[in-house]
Amino acid sequence: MGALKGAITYAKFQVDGAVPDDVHQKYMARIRTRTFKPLQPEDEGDVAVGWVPIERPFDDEISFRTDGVFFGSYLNLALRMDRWRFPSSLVKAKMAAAERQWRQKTGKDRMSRTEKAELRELVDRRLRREGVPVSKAVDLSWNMASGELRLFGKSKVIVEHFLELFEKTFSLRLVPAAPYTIAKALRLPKDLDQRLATVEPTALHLG
Amino acid sequence: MSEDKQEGPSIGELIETRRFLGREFLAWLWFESEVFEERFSIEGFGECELHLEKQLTLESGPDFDQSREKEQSKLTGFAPSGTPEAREALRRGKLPTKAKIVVRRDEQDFALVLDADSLALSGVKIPALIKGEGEDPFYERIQLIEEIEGAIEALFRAFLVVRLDAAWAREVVPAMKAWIREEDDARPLESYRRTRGRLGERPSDVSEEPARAPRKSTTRALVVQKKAREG
Repeated sequence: MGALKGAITYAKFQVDGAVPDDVHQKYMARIRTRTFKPLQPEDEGDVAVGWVPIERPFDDEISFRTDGVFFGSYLNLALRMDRWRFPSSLVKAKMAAAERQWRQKTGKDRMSRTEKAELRELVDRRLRREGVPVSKAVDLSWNMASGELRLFGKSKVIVEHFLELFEKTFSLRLVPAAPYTIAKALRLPKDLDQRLATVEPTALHLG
Repeated sequence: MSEDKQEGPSIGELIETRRFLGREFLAWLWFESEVFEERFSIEGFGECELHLEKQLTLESGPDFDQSREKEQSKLTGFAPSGTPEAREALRRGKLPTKAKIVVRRDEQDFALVLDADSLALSGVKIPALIKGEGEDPFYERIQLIEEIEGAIEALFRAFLVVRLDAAWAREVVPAMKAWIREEDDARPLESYRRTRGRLGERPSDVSEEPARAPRKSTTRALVVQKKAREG
């Protein structure tokens, strides 16, 4: 959502650092190393995060074309995040059924903590094989000329994954937009800029 | 504040402790839209009308102690900024933290919700895209987003020029207080109008680095193109 169509809600960042001269070649190679890889039922983790093309974020076959990533001075990508999420009521029901089976099979009444954890893992894996992960894709548009980057999603989980993946991919730091950082970027007259560091809140309701 | 310390505050500290500027900016924008009857001239964007509507949240503060319970007023309706509740919230020390802002220029409406603590925009509405055949809609969309974002930043800059000047305490604060209290005395507001006129232009003593160039007006050019196409 966001950069090409849909709702326009975004978190803004300033990219701190210079981009290389052979930006297309270098960045395409880096993006490909962090391409989204679909979750498998056997995977240890329950989240997969990676880059996908902005125009086809949910394709089974993920491939990047330079002209689908670079739009003039903009670099456009989507962050895809897949997660195994099952309703807790379903997990509880499956777990209760598995416990009944276990009791019949073993003839025991009580489970140890380890046995319960193993059974839970088995139930999880079965659910994963039967189900599909929840998928989400969030666009990003990075104006490499100005250093401004917009991430068209503001959920805390997405932003955290994005910050980690972006910094790993491009080895550049991101500074979140805030009144102070925006004020600094506006290049105020020197005397005013210096006062930014000492200015105190005003109580408009008093006096 | 931290000026007496041996080492200056970190960027993280400065970001957190200066968030109040966003709330004061939103209060000032609301004040300006009423004092100047919604008429604005924004650098790089041009003449426009700007007003708050439909959604306004005010919170007590500035309060950086997260453990303290926040007092919040969420006002909705056609024009919540014009209600007695909104002014009462200001009188009780609350400041706006979120507001829907509508900007109209050349009969084209932009709308957005501004979050004061981050100056982030959400729910942005841009004028309908006017793309021709073979043109990529991305550029038009991103340019319109950058244009309205640039207008908000230009307003924030205009606010900072007033806020960081000595005239803030001397003339702006009394005028805003008079506005908050809905006083009949027009002198503080008249004095503020004069101050704004004086502080509106500060082309001189800029820092050694060049100011960010005002963003180009995209929609004006697109409107002209569209009108030409329509004959």
